[in-house]
Amino acid sequence: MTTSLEPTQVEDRVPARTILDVSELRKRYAPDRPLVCDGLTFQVREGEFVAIIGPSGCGKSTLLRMMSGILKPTSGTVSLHGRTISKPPPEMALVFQDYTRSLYPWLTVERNVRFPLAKDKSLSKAEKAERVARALDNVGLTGFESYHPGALSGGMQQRVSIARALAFQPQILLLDEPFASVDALTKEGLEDTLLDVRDRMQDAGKTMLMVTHDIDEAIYLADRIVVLSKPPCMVAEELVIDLPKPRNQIETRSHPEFLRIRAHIHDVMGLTDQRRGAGGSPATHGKGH
Amino acid sequence: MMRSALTTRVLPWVAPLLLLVVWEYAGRHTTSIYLPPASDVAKALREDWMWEHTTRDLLPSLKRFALGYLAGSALGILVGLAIGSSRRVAQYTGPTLEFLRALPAVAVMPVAILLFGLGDGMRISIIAFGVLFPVLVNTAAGARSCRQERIDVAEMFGLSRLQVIRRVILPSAVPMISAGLRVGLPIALIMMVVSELVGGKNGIGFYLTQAQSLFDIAGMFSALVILGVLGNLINWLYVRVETQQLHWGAHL
Repeated sequence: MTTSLEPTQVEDRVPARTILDVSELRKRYAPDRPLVCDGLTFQVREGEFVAIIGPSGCGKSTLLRMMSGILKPTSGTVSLHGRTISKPPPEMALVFQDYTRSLYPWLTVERNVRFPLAKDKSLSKAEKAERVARALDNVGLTGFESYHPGALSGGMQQRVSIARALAFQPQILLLDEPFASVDALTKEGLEDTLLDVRDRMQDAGKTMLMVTHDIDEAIYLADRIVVLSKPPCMVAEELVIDLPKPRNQIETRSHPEFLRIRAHIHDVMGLTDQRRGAGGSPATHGKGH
Repeated sequence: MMRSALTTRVLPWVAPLLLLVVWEYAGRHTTSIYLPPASDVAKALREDWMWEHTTRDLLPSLKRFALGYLAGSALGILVGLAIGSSRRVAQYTGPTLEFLRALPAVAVMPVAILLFGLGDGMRISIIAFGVLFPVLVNTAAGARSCRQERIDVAEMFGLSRLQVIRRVILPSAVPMISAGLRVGLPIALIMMVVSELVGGKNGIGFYLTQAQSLFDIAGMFSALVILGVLGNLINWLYVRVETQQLHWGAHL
């Protein structure tokens, strides 16, 4: 239990090799528009679960879209295994916040999950079916293959989009506020599904990068948290989460460390200051990087 | 119970039956030859349309209708998809299409006659021209409204631009395309009749002009009945297929 609450030299603590390297990333949508991201720099190591949190509207989704290669940065680079990303790399899959907009309602659950495999000619039909079945089993949706997404609940639809990303067998899974559109109970279930899936996956597939505005969710799931500042976003702090594994909704969330990290992130994000008013400590909005 | 069965099943038939009765009565008691009683029209329906003129006029009409409708729809979907999924194509073609769209299809007929003569080519192309724009405009709007997330997902999975258009943009535009196709149906029917009014050798439009010039007023009305039934039947079939196939449309 040596969770450091100071800005951490993460490099010393995690020996695994860097898989994603975000360097001096800046984004401006148009010359006359303000900066969305201003010099973001951080690394993701192989097998790590990194959560990126920041206040709403701080450019988290922009960051994720740049990291996945679907949006070009104004300056700076994202490299995967040392190569700069210029288009969506085959090693990544992305799960969006809004499942109703990212699933294909005209396809059945089975065909939605098979969608990323359709153009892969190296796989036989049986292999594809096998992968789809395994992905659906991983998220607990066996038996719903022939349903259309519209016939399923929100939580189940988000499971479908997670299964679709899993069937692609990415080395890195990017998640854009994956549980922001479901109710609190469903959300806990989905969080645990994600942790289960991660435990069952091969080493290469364990790397996950999640963007969220939910501090508790980030602490519960992640090995490391990157806290972003208000827009234009910069890295305000990086934190290693040393909570014991396997994590558990009741025990983990009531762990003294959990509560301490939580309070600390509130401080970093400047949330506590507002409530404490003039009496609060002003020295918490540090830029840790 | 009786009451609701009565209102839903019986009431819709009251007005048409009443109309028939009035028509029949007025037709028998007028001296005008322009209003034959309904029973005369029924007789014409039986004598002419079972089945001599059905094979001689209705089937050729339906063939032109089908060919023109298919050609216009296919072209409308293709061009609409190109416009809806590429801003550059939309910019290049926009003003030209707006101009062509404003032309009434009927007004284009003389041009079509010059280009294709008085044969089926002219008729089919006129029907296609009438169907083209409602389908094209709807397809373009449908393609343009495709959720960016759906396109992003497909690009993340490595699909090429063409694959994205075929596998994501096209299917998500299908409900809108379908609405355009439905709007195109009655237009195709109108253009079918209009195109047969000039220089034809057969077809319902030809039958209409023949009956009119021979003062076969009952025959003329019988053609109108056939057209009404045909229009309803086609629309009913279309809506049936649409509701069956597009149950997911509400979740787009």
